Amino acid sequence: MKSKKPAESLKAAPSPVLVHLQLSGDPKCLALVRRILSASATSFPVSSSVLNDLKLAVTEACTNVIRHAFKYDFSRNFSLNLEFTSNVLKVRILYSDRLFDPEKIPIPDLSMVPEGGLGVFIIRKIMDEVVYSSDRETGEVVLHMIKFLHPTSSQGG
Amino acid sequence: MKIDCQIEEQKKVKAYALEGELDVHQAKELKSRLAEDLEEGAWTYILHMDRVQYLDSSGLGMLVYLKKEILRHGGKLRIDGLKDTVLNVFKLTKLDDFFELNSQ
Repeated sequence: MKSKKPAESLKAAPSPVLVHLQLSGDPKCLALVRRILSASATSFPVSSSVLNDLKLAVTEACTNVIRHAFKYDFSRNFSLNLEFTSNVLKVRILYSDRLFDPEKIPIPDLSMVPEGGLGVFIIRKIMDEVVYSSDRETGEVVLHMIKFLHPTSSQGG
Repeated sequence: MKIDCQIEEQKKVKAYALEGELDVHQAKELKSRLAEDLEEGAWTYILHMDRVQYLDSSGLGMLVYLKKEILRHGGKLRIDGLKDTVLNVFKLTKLDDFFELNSQ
């Protein structure tokens, strides 16, 4: 029996794509994040619908850091880590915000047609897992998000 | 963000062809540009968004603000040519009923 060629093995099980970015508080970086997400997803069979959702959720999360934690201070930095595998995208965003309390994220009242406060609402609609953790002493905040790339009826998405 | 504006004074219509990605960076620019153009009275403002590839809550918040301002001035807002991906953001936030939307 013929053994598989290396190229075929790679095609059968693509290696995870790991992306570690250090981003500034400049909102111009958001378009770059979306392009990196698109490029990272090319190794995996992700539908355009899921990819658009991912770009939206990750942009919303980064926007919240830039707008609410950094208040558009371009000199501040945060980390965005992406781990793509064939089935799942794991996202980790690390930044510093001593005032952030995950318990106090407001829930928007959609009946009032809000002009703001929809970012986390959208993130939670799109991603399968969303966990904020914060260290009150150091001020370090970590946002973990997971999205299953091929949702079944039981996984939602 | 690229913004082309056509004005029909007699019909009281201002139509804007938008091109780009409506995230927090671009939404601020568009908000200040359109807010400057608002007039008192029954003007119709049309946003052609067929070349808008991306919209998020920042862009959406700007549009909500804009529509409220237009209503306050006595006008109305119509949004045309929405791509499915952009329309999806309106639906996700249940704001599709608040706006007069026409998809592609």
